[in-house]
Amino acid sequence: MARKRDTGRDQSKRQNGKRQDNERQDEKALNRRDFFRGGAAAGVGAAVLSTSAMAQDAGAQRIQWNYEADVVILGSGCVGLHAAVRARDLGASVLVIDQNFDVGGKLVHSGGWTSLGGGDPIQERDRMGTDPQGLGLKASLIKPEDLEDDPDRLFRDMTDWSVVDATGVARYRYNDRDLHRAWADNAPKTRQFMMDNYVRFARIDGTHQGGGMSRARAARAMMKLADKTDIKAGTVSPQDRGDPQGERHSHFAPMRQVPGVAADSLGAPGWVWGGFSIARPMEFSAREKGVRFMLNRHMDELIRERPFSGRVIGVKARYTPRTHPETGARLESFWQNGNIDERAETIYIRARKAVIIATGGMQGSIPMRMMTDPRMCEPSIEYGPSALIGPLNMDGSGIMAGMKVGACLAGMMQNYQHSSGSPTISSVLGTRDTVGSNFPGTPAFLFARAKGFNIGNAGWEHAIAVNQVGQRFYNERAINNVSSDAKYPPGTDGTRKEFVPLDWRNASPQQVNAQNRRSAAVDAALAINEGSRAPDFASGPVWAIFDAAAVARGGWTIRYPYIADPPDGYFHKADTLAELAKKVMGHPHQKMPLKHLEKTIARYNEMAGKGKDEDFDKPVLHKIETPPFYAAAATIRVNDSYGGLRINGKAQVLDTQGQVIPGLYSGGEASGGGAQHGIGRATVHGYIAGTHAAQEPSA
Amino acid sequence: MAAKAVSTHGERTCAVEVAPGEVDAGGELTVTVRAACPQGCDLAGQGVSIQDRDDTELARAELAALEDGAYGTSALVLRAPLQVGEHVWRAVLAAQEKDGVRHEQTATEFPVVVRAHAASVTVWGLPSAIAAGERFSFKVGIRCSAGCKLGGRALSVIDHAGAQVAVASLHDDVWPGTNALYFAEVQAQAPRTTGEFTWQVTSPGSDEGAPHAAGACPVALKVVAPPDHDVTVEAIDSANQTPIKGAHVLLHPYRALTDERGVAKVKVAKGRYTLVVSGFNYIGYESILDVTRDVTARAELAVEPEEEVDIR
Repeated sequence: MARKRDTGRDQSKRQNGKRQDNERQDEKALNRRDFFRGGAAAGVGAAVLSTSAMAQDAGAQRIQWNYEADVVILGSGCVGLHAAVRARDLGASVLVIDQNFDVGGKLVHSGGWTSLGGGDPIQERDRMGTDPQGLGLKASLIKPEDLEDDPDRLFRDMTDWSVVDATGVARYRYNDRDLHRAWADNAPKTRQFMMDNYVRFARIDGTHQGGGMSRARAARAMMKLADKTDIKAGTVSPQDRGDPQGERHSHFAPMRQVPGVAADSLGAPGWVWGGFSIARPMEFSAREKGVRFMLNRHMDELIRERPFSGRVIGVKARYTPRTHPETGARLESFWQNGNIDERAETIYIRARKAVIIATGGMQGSIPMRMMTDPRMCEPSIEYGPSALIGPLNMDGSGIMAGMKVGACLAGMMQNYQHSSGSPTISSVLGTRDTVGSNFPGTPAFLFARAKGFNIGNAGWEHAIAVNQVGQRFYNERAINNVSSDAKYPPGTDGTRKEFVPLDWRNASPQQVNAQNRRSAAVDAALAINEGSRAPDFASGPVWAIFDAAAVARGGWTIRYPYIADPPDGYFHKADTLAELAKKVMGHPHQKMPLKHLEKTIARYNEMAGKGKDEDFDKPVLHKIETPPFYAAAATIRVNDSYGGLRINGKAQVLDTQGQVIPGLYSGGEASGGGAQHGIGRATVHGYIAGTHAAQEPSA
Repeated sequence: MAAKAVSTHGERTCAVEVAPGEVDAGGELTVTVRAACPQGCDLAGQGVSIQDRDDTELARAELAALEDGAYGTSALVLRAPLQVGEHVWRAVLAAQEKDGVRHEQTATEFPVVVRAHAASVTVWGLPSAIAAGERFSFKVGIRCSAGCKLGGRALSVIDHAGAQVAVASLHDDVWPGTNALYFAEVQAQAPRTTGEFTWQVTSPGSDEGAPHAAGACPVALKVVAPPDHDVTVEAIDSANQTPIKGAHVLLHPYRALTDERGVAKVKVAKGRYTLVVSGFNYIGYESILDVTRDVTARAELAVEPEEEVDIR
C-alpha cells in the first residue's frame, strides 16, 4: 500500500481543533461584510478617488467595508509574518493580505541567516556553550568574548560612521539613529519571540553584512530532517525539504541551493537550514493563533480619513490570482487553514487599529527605481525572485500608497549604494530568475522555467559578455567585482591592522573616494549603445557568449532544468556565430540581432592569439571557436530595496512634516532609513510594528 | 425582370510582402498579400493567385478581413526557384462582380531574390603555438545556410604565399552538438620560419542540387622556434593542499591543462614568461618564470568566493 505523504499539511489539520477555538473568539472581531449584493462598494470607490478633501472625507466615511480587523497587514513576508504573530499575541484580530498565492514572500526562499544581537538568547546560549533546547548542537563556533553583547554596543555598531567597506560604501554611517536605537533595543526580544514561535537556530557563525562589526550575531534558522514534517518538533520531511542534489525543490521550501556551507559546520549536525525554517514555523504559528490570510489579493490603495490628515482606516484591494501556465488552475498555498478565499474583484478592508505596510521594496517598479538611478529604466533588469512571488512582487505599491496619503521617503541613497540594492551582472546564466534559482518541485519553477547555471566569477575567463548589439564592454573576469564585507570579524582595508570602532582611520581615503563606483561593469553595460532607441534609450540585455570548448573545460551543465525546455529565449545554441547572432531575438527584451558579434569574436580571438586583451585588459583569453556556440542571458539584476517609507522607532510611518500618520506602520524593504540588510532588519521591524499596532486605540 | 445595375470600381490596391528579402535557392519564403478597394468594398472571400512569370499558379488564397479594416491573406509559404537571381512573380486579384459592384482584375508584380546557398566556414582546434616545420592538425567545419548535407565536399588550405598546402573532404556526419555543421580534420606542415602567418581555408562553390557559393575562412598561425625545455606546473588548492584538475596553464603562447594530479607539462622555448594558472572557482595565480632549463613550478590557488546573492 502506498504510504501517505506526511507533510506539515497533516500537522496543520491536527491543530484545527485548537485553531477553531481561536476563530470562534475572532468571529466578532473579523467579519465579512457582504455589501457586494447591494453594489455599494464600487460607487464608493469613485468617491475615494475624489481630489476634493471634503469629498474624500465624505467618501471615506461612506465606504461600505467588506471585511474588518484590528490590524490589517499588507504582505506575508518577513515583516508581515512577525508583525502578525506579535499583534495577535497582544490580543488583536489580524488579517494578512498578500498578492501571491502563498505565504512567505522573499523570506521563504532566503538563507534564513538571522543577524540580531544585543545580547540575544542565542548569543547567550553560545557564549555559555550550552544547548538548552536539546538540539544536539556541537561546541560554539565563536569565542565567548565575541558573543558578549548588549543593545548599547549593538546600537553603536549600527551607527559606526568609521566603517567603510571594500567597495567604499559606508554601510553604517547613514543608518537612521532613532530607527536603529529602537532596532537594537528590540533585537534580543525578537530573537526570543522567534524561538517562542518554533524557530530553531544553529550556532552563531558570524554577522550578516550590515549587522555590525564588533560581535558575532548571526545564526541560521534550521529544521531537522526526519520522517515527517512537524513544526512543533522542528522537523522537516525529505519531501518537504526538497533535494537540491537531486535537482528538486519543494513547495514547502522553495529555497535556492546555497553551496559551500554544510549544516554540520554550523554546529548542528543532521539539520538543514534556510528561510523556510523561519517562514513556515512563523506561518504555522500565525495560523495556529488565529491570524487570517487572504491570499491572491493586492493592496491598491490606502484609505485615510482625509487625503493628508486623519487616521489610515483601511485598504482597497484587488483579486490577483496566479494560475498554472499550462492548466490554468489557480495556484494554492501550502497550508490553507485560516485562509479566506475571497474572489471578488475589488474589496474594502477596514483596519480598526492600524494598517502595516509589509509589501517589500520597489525593485519591480521601473518608475520608482528610477527615483534613485535613472539607468534603472532598463526593462531587462530583473528584480529578485519574481518567479517565486509573482509579477506584482516588489512593485513598490506599498510605498506608493503611502506616498499618496502623505508619507515621506527615507534612505533612497542606499538603493544606489548597496551592493544588493543596485544592479549587478549575474554569473548565473540562462535564466531570468537568477536569485530564486529554483529547481522543479516548487510552483515558482513554472514561471522561472530554468534554474540557470552558475559559471562563477572565474567562469567569465572562458566567456565574453556582449551588449544587445554584440559588442564587448568590460573585462569579463572583473564583471562581478562588487563584493562588500563590512561585517564580523572586523578588519580594515589593509592600511591598519586592527579595527577600532569609531576610528576614522579604519578606512583609507582611497576607499572613501571609491564610493559610488561599486560596479563599473554595470555602468558599462547600462551605457547607451548602438541599439539604444528613444525614448528610454534602453541598453538591452547582456549576453554571455562562449563555445563548446568552454563548456567542456568548465563542465557547465547546460541542460534542463538549468536551461528551459522548451526554450524561453534566455539560452541559445547555434552551429555558427552568424546563426547565433540572430537567434537571440527570442529574448523578450532583445530587439535586434547581435550585429557585431562575428566581428567582436574575430577581434577577441585575434587578441587571444597575441596573448593580450588590448580593449579591456582581461588577463587570460581563450579563443571562442569550437562549435557549437552559445549565448546565455547574463541577467542584470537588482535584489533588494533600501529606500522607502520613512518610519520612526515604533515603525510608524511619518509624513513630509515628520509627523506620525496615525494608524499606519511599515518596515523591512517597504521602509527606508539605513543600509541594513536582511532578515534581521525585517524581523525586528515586524516585531516592533506588531507591538505598537496592536496597542493602538480601536477606531 | 429588371436588369441588374452594375457599377465598376477602380482598381483595387494590392501590396505584397515577401520574407526574407533574399532567399536561398529552393528555400522557403512567405508571401503575404494585402488588398483594399478605394470605395471601401468588402473584399472578404475574394481570391488571390500567386503566379510566376510563366503564369503558373504557385499558390491561391482568399482575402480575409484584418483587424485594421484592411483585407489580406495569411502568410503563404512558397518554395523559391533554384535559379539564382531576381524573379518577378505576380499577385493576381481576379475580376469579380458582387452586389452590383464589379472589380476589374488587378495584378501586382513583386520581386523574389534568390541567392546561392552561403557556406559558413569555421576553423578550430589549431595549436596556440606551432614549432617551425612541425606537422599539426586542426578542424574545419562548414555549414550551408540552408542546412544542406555537405558530406564529401572538398576543401583546401592555401598558405600565406598562395600555395595549396592541404586538402580534405568533409565527413558525412555533423560535428557533435550541431545540426548541420559538417567537418573535416586537416593535417598540414608549419612554415620553416617563425612568425605569424595567415592561411586560408577555402571551399569551392557547387551547382550540384542547389547552387552553393564558395566559402572561406582565415587561419592564423603562430609559428615559434622549437621548444628547448620542459616546464612542469603543479596546481594546488591552497586551502587543503589538494591537486587541481583541469586548471589552465598559460605561458603565452603555450597553453596546457592540468591532469588528475594537478600537473601540466609544457614544452617552451627558453625565455622569460608570465605564468598564469587559472581554475574554475579559483582566484588566478600569476608569477614570472625565467626558463633557462627544465623548470618545475608550484601554483597555489585560493578558492574564489561563491557568487552569492546577499539574501542570507
